[in-house]
Amino acid sequence: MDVQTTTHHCPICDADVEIPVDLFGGMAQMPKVVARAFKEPHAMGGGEGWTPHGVVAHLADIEVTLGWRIRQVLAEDAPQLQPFDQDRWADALEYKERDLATSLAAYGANRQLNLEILRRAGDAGLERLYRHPEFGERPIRTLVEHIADHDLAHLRQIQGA
Amino acid sequence: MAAAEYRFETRRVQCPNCGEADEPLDVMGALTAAPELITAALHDSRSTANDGWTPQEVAAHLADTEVFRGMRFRRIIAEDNPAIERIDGEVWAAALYYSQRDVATSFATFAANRRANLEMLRLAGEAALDRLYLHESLGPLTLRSLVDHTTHHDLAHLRQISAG
Repeated sequence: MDVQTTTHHCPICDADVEIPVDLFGGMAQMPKVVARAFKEPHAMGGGEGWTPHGVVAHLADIEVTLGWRIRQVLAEDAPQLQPFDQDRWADALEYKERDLATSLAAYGANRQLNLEILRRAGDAGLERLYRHPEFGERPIRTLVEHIADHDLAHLRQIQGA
Repeated sequence: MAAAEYRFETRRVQCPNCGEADEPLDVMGALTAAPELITAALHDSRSTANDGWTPQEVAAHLADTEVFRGMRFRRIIAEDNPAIERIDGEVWAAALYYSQRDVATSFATFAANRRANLEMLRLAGEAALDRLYLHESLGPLTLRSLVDHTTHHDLAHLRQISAG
C-alpha cells in the first residue's frame, strides 16, 4: 500500500474503516495507485462478481457521483441527494464491457477536479450539509471520507489482499 | 475561427431544452470532436467576455456540465423514468470557483468525461436513446433529446468563443 492510513469511524458505514492520514493527498494518489495495481502479478481476478475492468468502471462512476454531489452541496443549501443502486448501475452500464483506459482516465480526471473544488471550498465547505434518505443529514466531509475508504477497499480487492 | 472548423453539417431543430438550435447530422461524431475543437478555440480566444464569462470560466462550465450530463445519462440508462434535477449555471459559476479554476484540469476533465459518456451511450445502444426521464418543468423527455441537446450546447459555446 502506497498510502499511509489511519483508522476512522465512518458514520455512513457505521464501522471503523481506513482512510489516508493526509485525506486529500492520499485521495489524489489513488487513481495512479489503482492503475499500478493492475500491473502487479497478483492483481485480482474479480471479486464481488465483478471483473477488474468492472471495478475500475465502478470507481469511475462513483467519482462522477461524488463530483455531482460535491457540486450540489456547495451550490445549494442542504440538498437532498438521490441514492442509486450500484448493482443495477453495474449491469445497466455494462461494467463488464467498459474500456479500462477510459475508466482510469475518467476516474483520475474527476478525482483531480473534485479535490481542486474541495480545496478551494476549504474547511467551511466540508461542513456544508446534505440530506440523504439512508445516510441522514450530514456534512459533505463524511461523504468524502467514505469515498476515501471505498477507494482503499477496492484497491485491496484488486490486489487480492 | 473555431466555428469555421466545425465541419459537421447541421440542420435546424426545435430542442425541448434550449429552443431553436443547430444540430449536427452526425451527432456522435460531433460529440466526439467537440472537446478538441472547444479546447483549441478557448486557447486561441483573446476575449475576456464570452457572454460575461472568461475562457477560464467557460472551461470550468464545460467541465461541470459534462459531469452532471454523465450523471443524468447514467440515471436514465439504469433507472426507470428518473426525475432529473436542474441546476442554475450562474449559481454554480459563483459557488464552484469558475473564475479561479485551473484551466488544464477543466479541459482534461471535460475530455475524459465526454469520452466515458460516449462509451456508455455506445454500449447502451440505440434502444437506450428512447428511454425516458422526467424533466422538472417539461415532463417526460427521451435520453435522445438530452444527447442531441449536448451538441447544441457544444456548438453554442464554440460560437460564443469565436464571437468573443
